[in-house]
Amino acid sequence: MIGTILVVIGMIYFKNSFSTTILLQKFLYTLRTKRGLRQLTKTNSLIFLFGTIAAIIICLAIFAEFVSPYDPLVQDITSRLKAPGQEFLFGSDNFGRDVFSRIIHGSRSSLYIAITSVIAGTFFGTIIGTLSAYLGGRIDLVLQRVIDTLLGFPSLILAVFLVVTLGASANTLIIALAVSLIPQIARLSRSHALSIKEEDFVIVAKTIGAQPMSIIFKHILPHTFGPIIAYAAGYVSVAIVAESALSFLGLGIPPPYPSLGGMLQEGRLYMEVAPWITIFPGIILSITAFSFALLGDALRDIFDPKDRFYTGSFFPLITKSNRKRIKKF
Amino acid sequence: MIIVFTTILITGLILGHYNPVLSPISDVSEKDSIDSERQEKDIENFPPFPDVQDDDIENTSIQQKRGGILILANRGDPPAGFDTMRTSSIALHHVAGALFGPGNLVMRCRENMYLVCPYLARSWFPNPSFSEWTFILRNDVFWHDDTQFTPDDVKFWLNLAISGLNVGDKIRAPAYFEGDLEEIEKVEVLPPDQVRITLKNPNRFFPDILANPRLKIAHPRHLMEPRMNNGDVSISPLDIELIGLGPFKFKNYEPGTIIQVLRFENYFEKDDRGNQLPYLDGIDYVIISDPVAMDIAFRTGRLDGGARGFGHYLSEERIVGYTRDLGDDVSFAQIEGGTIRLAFNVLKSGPWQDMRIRRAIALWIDKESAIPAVLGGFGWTTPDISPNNLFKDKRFVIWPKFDLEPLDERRAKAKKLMEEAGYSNGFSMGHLCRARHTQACQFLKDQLLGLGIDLQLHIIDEGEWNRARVSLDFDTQPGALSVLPIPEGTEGVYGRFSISPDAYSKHEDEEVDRFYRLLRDATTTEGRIDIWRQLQKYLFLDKTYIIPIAEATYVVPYRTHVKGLTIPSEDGHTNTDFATVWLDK
Repeated sequence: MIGTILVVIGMIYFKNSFSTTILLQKFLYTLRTKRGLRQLTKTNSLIFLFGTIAAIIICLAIFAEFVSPYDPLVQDITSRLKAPGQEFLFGSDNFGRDVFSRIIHGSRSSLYIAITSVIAGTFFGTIIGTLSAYLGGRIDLVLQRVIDTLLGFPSLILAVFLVVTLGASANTLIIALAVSLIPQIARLSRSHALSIKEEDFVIVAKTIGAQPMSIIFKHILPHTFGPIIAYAAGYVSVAIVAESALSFLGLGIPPPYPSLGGMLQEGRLYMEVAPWITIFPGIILSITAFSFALLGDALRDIFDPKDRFYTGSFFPLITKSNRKRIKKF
Repeated sequence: MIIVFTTILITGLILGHYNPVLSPISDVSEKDSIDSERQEKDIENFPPFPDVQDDDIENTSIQQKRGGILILANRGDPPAGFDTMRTSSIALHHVAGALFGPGNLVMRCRENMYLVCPYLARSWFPNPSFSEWTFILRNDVFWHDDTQFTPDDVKFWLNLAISGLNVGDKIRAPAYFEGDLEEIEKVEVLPPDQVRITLKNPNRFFPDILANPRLKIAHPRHLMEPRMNNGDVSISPLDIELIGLGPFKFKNYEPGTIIQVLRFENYFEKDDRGNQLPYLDGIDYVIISDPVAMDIAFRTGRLDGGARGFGHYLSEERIVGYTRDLGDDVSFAQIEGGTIRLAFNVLKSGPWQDMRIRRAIALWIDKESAIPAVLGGFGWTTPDISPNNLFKDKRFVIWPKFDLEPLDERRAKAKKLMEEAGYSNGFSMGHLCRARHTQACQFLKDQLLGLGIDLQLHIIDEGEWNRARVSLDFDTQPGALSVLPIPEGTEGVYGRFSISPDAYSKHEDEEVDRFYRLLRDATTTEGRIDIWRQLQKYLFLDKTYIIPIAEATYVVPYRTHVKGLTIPSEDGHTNTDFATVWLDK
């Protein structure tokens, strides 16, 4: 919910950003037209495939209550460790709970935590980085040293520290993952904001007496949006894996509520007699993370074409000749 | 059995001391209204009661081999600087048996843990009123630094455990098992080799209390007292290089990796043929906190024995892999373990203060389901007060006879009780849940959901568990402390909060005091059993302070070339010295 609100606010806020609007319009055009869709599937079928899978996973997660055949929490000891079949699509676990239902609900938890933490981390990281760049001086110095300190910790270790301190829950995980993202986004947005700060249009805005906040939010932030959103999109898959890792370590969503990492942990003891408890959540976790990683790459292409490294395109921005040039490069 | 016991008791009194003390296991009195037909059926259904292990029989007829290093898994790093006064953690006591010995002045007999055998004391005798117990120490006992063990060591250790220590403004807290020894009023040294312990109240079963394997002497006076007097009151055994009295001496400890011990050449115990114990050259305890990692290490031949401790004990599912990989090269020791319980904090306001609610919960829970889901398929549902029970034979195990109706009938009653109490729509109730016991917590949460009770799990680590369980800051808790194998020793976990802050259920019911007084004053085994049953009925049925759900059978793997193991029939803390173990390879 928080994520959705932030996305809507972002869309409204950036509606005047020329480059963003053009890119979004092209993206939507691609999806609307048959030609665009055809080219999309042709030019990069892998991204299309995983994009579709990611969309399906998101839909399943959103409509988990309606899709899952069983309550993921209700135990039926008489049905414990049942193999995949008609009764239980992905089998049942030690408590006789349906693995498929738990995966769907677990995916929802993972996606909710990953996406919300990325949005929160991006939001605060961008503000901190841009403010730091614009204000400069001692504030910049102090903020950057704090950022350096946070960057000094491996993000997962930082997240573990926060979860242990604050206690395991979904909200704590969101905070932990967001906090580990903030310094990375802050560093990125600062570097972009520093260059944009020296652009003529910013100097002009200052000359005509625009307020600092107005300059930051109207002139600088919209121009740093592209690379940040590209980075953040790629980070969603990292957050999904990090959330699962924390849950695997017992620092994530507390049982009996399902999470992909938690299911992997619970299933380990039954690997030999009931491998489906571990295998299916593992497969879904891999597919989800992979799908979002590729989607992140695609979004990076959309919002930050300079960083594009592969020949395919998510939509027909690149012509055949351009692709040849990139190949040569 | 009564005749045997009485004969031994009288003989012992005549001779002035008896050695060893035979703990009375009596026939069930006829006055107990047990349906004999049902009892027979229950006995048939009861899992095989662990008798003396085959290995023990084998040991008497074959020659043990000396030498070799036994490699065992250990559940984790021993906490609290290996201090046996600070923790009953099996991660410590699995190692501590070898370092500090299986007991103190007395020990549980290796072949039958329900008997008391001499250990550091060669004999003992009470005064006629059983309020004074005099122990005569062996004169061939040495600390690992070859210092003679003396009665002063005993006095120092007992005083430290009971009273702690004050040096200036520094305070050392008493041992966590202080409550078990609270009856001790005074400890006197009677030169050259005797110690007299005076009790506040007469107790015929004091050696049984003392034989608790958790009460290990790990505190050499000659090394610790000077440092304590200099203000280092929190000194732990690890600070003095783990100098102990056990069959093995400390060699090396790498936290998180390994603990190594070597044979102590001056150890005093000998086998039946007069051979010096221990047989092994040493033991390597490989620290493996992950049960799956232990499985892999064992099954690939890197371990001779598994770890003891909840989580590491094998389930039916894990045994499949062991037998498939190792076939006849692996054997499975069975130890009756602790119970899954639900204990209420009735001193905290909430619906559970209403006895009808507690009864409804007790009736509602499907106890059979806990065995496969939580106990790995090994366990049973006898509503016994604890497996650690002197009277644990097949006749007593099936007591008490309540809450035995079919589940549907019990649940109908439970619903009715909830309605009568005004909670037909249920309520929310907190539950302390140790992170390593989440399966039991999940089971309970699901069970109570059907009764409309939303059990809020507060999953906590061991540190928080140790704090919270002795506070009043919870609604319910699982109650997973170990207790003594005799009823008199269980007050610490079933008594009043003001007397026993460690108790599972927090209550201030003076009637429970009265039962324990009656127990201490009982002079016959029948009398003790009768009072014990009354107390169980009072705790589980009349007041339902605690709901016993199921009892576990713990399974530990050992390679078949590990000989001479004496697996205790219950309580995994027993027989951890491995002095009689040898390797047949």
